[in-house]
Formats: sequence, C-alpha cells, structure tokens
Amino acid sequence: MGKVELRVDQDPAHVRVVRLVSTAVGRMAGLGDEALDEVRLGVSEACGLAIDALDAAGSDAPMSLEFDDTTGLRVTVRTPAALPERQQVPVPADPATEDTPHTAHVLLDRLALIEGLIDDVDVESGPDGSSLTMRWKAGVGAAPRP
Amino acid sequence: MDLSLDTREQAGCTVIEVGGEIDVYTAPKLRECIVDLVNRGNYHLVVDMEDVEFLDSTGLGVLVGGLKRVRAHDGSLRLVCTQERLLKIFRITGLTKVFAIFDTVDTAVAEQPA
Repeated sequence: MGKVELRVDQDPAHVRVVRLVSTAVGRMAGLGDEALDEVRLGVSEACGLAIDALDAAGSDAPMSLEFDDTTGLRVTVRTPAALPERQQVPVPADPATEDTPHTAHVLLDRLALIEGLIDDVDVESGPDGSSLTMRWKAGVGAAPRP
Repeated sequence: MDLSLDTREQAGCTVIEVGGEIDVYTAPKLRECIVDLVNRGNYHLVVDMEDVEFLDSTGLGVLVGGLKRVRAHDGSLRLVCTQERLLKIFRITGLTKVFAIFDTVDTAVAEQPA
C-alpha cells in the first residue's frame, strides 16, 4: 500500500476517525489483533498529545499523521507545537493492596502510556515542532498459523 | 460506537454500566455522570466496564478523578473488568494498585461497606 497521510483539525471528535483509519491500515499491514489494539491506543494517545500541545501553544494548526506499511507499520504524528512535559500523579491507593497502603504514583500522562505499551517509539523535537513515531513489525500480534 | 452510560442501584451501590469508547472526546460525559452522582449523594460507585470497547488515558484520568471525589466522602469506586486489553492499560499505568477490580458486578457490590 505504501504511505497514507492525514491532516486533522485539533478537534477531539476527530481522534475516533484517526483510530478507524489506523485500524484499517494496520490490518492491511498484516498486524494481529493484539498489535491493532496497540495501534489504536498509541495513535489515540499521540493525537491527544498533539491536541494538548497545540492547545497549550494557543495554535489552531492541524496535526498531521503519516502511515507507512512498507515494512510492518510505521505511524508518525507531527505537530508544530512542543509536546507537554510528563508527570506522575499521586492518587490514593486502595487500602486492600499490600504494597501501597496510602498513595500510589500512577503514570497518567500519555507519553508514558505510549512508551509502556509500544516497544519501538521515537520522540523528536525541533524548531519546527515535534513528532512521535511508533513502529510495529509485520505479523506481530497475529495468531500463529496452524 | 459512541459512549453509552446507564446507572442503576444495587444493594446500596450505584452501578454505572459503561459501553463503547472512552476517549478524549467522550470521557467528559463519563466525568459529568460521576460528578452528578456524587453531588446527589451517591458515594459508593461500581463502574461496569465489560462493554467498553476502547479506553485511553483521558478515561483513566476520569476514573481517578471519580475515585478522589468519592474518597473525599469516605466512599468507594470499584471497577468491573475482565477484558485483558483494558487490564493491560491499568497495569502499565500502575492503577491496579489504586483500583479494586472485580470480575462481576455482584462480587464488586458484595465488597461494598454497609
């Protein structure tokens, strides 16, 4: 298939559209169900990051996405704004849990979730903005052939 | 699929049945639902996520916000979830230490304080 490019307004309602496109491209790239779940979540979080970045910068510029299934699947999300700083959030822990009786620090920021979920992630920042690239190998997450 | 929300009472708890996709666009609806319930004095909540098809960090943030809200009233917010793709997200973020997660609504409700 090669490359597919999208330019999307920074409207949260459009993130679902991007997810649908991502799923279709990932399926055409031969990814399995587990990897497709990662694609959906990774792309959704990356779009959320881009929206947060553009919002913080007061920019109404669109974000852009590039899908490339030449070897596996590569998805790059670009924004002209800088990505937000990551943060850990203190949360009251469930008293029933053994190791954190009072407070747990959870990774609620989008980039931490992306990096926790996906093995191959690159984040780049420069004077022209930021980009986040995620890669999956072909056949990853697919059920083994009988 | 858009987000669907249904609430009902069961054994002194308020069960929120959530269906569809919880993302940056739909999560505010879930937040409004939880805030509204707490404002009306419902402090023991069970969020049934068995029909949730997608969950992102915005949705997680809403659940954490709901937990903080009910804890301020000595309440509880428990989750019902058996879907591995969602449980994986809770594990990555460390939220399995924060939420009590049950297999069924009945077991979640049974754990509620009287």
